[in-house]
Amino acid sequence: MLPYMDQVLRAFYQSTHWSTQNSYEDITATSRTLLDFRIPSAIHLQISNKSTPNTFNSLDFSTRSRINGSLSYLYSDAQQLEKFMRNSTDIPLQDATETYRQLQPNLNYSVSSGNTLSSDNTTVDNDKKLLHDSKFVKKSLYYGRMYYPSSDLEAMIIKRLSPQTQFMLKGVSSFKESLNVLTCYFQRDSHRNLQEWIFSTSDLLCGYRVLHNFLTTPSKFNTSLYNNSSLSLGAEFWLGLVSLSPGCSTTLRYYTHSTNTGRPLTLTLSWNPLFGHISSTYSAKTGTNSTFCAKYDFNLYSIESNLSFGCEFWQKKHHLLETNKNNNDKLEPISDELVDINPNSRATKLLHENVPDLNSAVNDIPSTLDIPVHKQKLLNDLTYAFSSSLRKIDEERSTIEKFDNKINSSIFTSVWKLSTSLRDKTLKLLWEGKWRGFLISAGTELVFTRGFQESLSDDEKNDNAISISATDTENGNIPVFPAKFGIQFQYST
Amino acid sequence: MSFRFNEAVFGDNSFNERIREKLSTALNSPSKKKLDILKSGIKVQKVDFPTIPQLEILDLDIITQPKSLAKGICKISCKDAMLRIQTVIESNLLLINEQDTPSFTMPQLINNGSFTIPITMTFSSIELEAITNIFVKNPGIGISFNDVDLDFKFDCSVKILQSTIERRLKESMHVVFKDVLPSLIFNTSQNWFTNRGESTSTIPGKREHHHQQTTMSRNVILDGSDFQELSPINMLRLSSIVSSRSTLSLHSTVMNSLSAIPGCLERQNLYRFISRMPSLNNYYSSQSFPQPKSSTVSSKQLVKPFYCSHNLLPKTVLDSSQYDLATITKIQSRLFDRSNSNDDNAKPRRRKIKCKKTRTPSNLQSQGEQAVDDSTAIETVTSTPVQTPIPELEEQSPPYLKTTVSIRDKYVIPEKISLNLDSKKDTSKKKPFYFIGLNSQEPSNNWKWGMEDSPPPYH
Repeated sequence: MLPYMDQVLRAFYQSTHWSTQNSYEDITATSRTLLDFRIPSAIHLQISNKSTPNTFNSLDFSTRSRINGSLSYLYSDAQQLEKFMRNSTDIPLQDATETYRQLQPNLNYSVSSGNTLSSDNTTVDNDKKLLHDSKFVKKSLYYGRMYYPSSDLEAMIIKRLSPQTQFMLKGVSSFKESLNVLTCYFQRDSHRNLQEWIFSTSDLLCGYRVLHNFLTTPSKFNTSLYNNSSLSLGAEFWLGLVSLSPGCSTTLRYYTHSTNTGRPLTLTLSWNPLFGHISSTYSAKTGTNSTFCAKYDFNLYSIESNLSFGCEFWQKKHHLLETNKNNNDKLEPISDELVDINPNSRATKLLHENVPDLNSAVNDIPSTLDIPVHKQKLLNDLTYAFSSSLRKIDEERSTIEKFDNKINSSIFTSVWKLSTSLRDKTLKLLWEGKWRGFLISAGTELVFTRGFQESLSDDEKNDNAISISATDTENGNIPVFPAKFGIQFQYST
Repeated sequence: MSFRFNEAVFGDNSFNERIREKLSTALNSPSKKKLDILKSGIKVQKVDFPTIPQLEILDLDIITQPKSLAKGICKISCKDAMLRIQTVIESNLLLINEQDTPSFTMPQLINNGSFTIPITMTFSSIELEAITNIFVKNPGIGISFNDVDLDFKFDCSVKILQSTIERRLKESMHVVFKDVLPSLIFNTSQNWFTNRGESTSTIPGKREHHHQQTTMSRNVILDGSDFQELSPINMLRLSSIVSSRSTLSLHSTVMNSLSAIPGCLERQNLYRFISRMPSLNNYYSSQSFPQPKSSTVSSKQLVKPFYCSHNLLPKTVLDSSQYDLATITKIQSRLFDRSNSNDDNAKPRRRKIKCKKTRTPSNLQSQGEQAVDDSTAIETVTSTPVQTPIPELEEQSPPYLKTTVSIRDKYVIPEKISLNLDSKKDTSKKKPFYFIGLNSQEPSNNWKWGMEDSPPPYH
């Protein structure tokens, strides 16, 4: 589950129109959330509330060996923050947890302005207007967290300096370990490029990250006129000035929808030239209730490899489905709004700027009465001539839209997450769900110890034969043991 | 007092095995904070001490203070040893940094996996020579390393790191000998003194090993029973030393050697020692040079006390061309080093006189006249008032190979050096001759002996 403060942060980004999908840090976010999800390691309780429209509090308890916890405050002067924040009873499960990240292809706004003008929906226009608004109001977020009894402090300041830039300052101060770390981020997002300059006081780490979105031009090979894919290339460079330790990596990401089923899939390929790591991932949303991910790691220098699998299974609310649909406005007022707005906005966004918005054009033609008859006839002829391809576009778009609608409208009650890695011989298991207004996540990490015990028994073979049989039976009984186990409750109002 | 040095311990390979065992347990001890960069334990692959370490006792003093037992100066030397250790290190330093800092402030890096490299370090042909002060007291043994000369060849499997590791190792060696080793020896010796005779170890694998230690420790402290085990030869020597001291005779007990005990100097042999201090005539005498009967330097002069002997070379030595100029220069610089004990960096000021031949036609007339001219020319160049060169004429020697050597302002008695050079060749080439001397030496400078870079040749 996402911690409450992360939900607030996400809402802040949404309200200030800062897109997170452009960050190089999140270029492999989909595979990361499907494979390396966090498992609670203790009994954990989080109670949070929105005290005023601009302030948020959260209280954490966790019991591992003794009770410790944290208290966090957040203040933001962003407007309409309450529109994006929901309490734990109302929030849809797919928003409360990290899951498959659906990307929206980036449009070059200056080019697409002519097309979007004719669009019947105003969300994109609003976004665009806000981004290019001369009356941009600087928004900021202040966050502080205090841990007890260790009395460590965490602080974060985010400031939107201009429509395209953002400044972030994170700091940790630990009294016991006399550890003080400050990290500054300066981010500049021009929709095609996102550049980040990072400086951290730990090891005097300097970093530069860049992500470039290639415009999705219709290719010659592409039989699909309706272009919905996006191709991004990113790189990062790091240098720790104290230890003179360098680091760099580069990543290519391709995101598209399957034309037949309309289901999204993501491919990434990242390479670390310094240490020779190559890792490729393939993640696909195979249905409304399942997601799969495979990751293959390979090292060029040491020829070590690793194969990881991850999957998610979502469970819908089967019974009361009809009543839910009827009472949709009552139960899920904001999600209903999302259902209304998002598909249309997605549709216009998915639509490539080179292809005219035919849907709206067709709609507009009868309404425009000032068009002469011969021109009207010409338009009709054109429409008829290209009707097959237009129909194809509509079909493709409709399948994608249909799939998106399906996911957004369905109410999930719980999700099972599994991930395993061949080299590490671990199996992670996590259940997340909603129960009476609580967001619950419970999970365990199992470690296979068969190889380890076999080597042990090999050693003991020299001693006597009795111990072998004893260890063999033990092996048969318990080949795995849990390395981690925990449960987490979240409640927010 | 006697010692028994058990060579059998070093004789077979078990000694190397024991060192390997101890080293690997010490390097992998859980009490030590494990470095993040190390991804596995340190494995000691090979230890090889082919020769028995030599222990030379230079001085021994049994003090009658209540707790201390003995105090001594030892020379420890060890040759051609070899050591090879192996471990696995993490080469991705950013990953280590990422693990150290809290995740809240650490930006997330993509594809920043761990990359481990196995590394093998080989120290070959280790040569150690150290002079140590040893204090044996009741709770333990204290050792201070005074003059450590350690040399080894270092070879690392990762060539990029080799120079860095070698430099750091050499820097840290200072600390090892100054701090680590003495404290280590003291702690282990404390065990010997306190746990004597009882095997209190709980680990069954080490019991035998521990037992060995305790049996060894018995020989450290003298018991009454130990006297029975002393060797008769040593007792005889000891008694002779004692008797020589009790007679108060100024003559040494043994006529042909400097000291009864090798490496020890007795008061009555001091003049011999001094007489063999490296001065020009002593150096000469230390060589087995057949002294001619007609020598101007009598053998009596050799045993003269230092203050009346002069630092000069006998004429016969020069005549027989036993020494070349380089040897004399070496002796002189050694003399200078000894007398100049305060600062090591002072270089001897040498007076160089270039004897360039500026021949006038009259000089070419006769050999004898030329020689006189040359020597007087030198005298005018080195116009120090104390120096009184007395040139002596020699008919046989070629003209510009006759020269004077001035070593000390006070003691200078110039001698001729006849160098064994081809005179014809030199006359044809007109090669300039360099005159090398050493001056402004104060005779009252304190001399030091023992434990210097070049100990006096009294063996």
